[in-house]
Amino acid sequence: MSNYHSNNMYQQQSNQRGYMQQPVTRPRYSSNDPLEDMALAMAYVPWQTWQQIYEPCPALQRGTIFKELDKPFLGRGGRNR
Amino acid sequence: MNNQMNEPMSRKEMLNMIDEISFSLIDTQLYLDTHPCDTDAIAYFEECSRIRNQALRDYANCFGPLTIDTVTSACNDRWSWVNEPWPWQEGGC
Repeated sequence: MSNYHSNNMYQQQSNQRGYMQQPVTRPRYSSNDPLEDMALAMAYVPWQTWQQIYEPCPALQRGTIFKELDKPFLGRGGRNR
Repeated sequence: MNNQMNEPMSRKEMLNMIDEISFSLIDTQLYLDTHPCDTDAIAYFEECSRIRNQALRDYANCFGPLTIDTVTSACNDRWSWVNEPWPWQEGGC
């Protein structure tokens, strides 16, 4: 899981810089959450690469030139199928 | 990115094409802000920029300048800036 890895990396870097000094001591309610030891409210942004570029016409219609960022709001949760 | 056509484009078509290529250019610019060494993105930016500049000049030739930057493309011997429709008028941008 690369996402978990980058999140963990970020936490380690943050600790070295002196942020987030307190260890995570939340009670464990769930045993199947792979992120349960992570600090709350920490987000991540994976590094984007240049790929799957829309042509100008569909790009303007979709609102992005990046196919992988073309995520229409569907009014509900779940993946875009 | 081929917009070559046999028939001349209408004003609306040219404006639409300028909108499209401008959007691709700006989205590429935003990507380059965080990826300044991405040579593929830089090449795409330059390609979009070249097409956009040519489209703006072509538009100015046919229908008058959209911005002051292409006034000279539209001018022959007369200052035509104020003759074009204003943005709030029919036919304006």
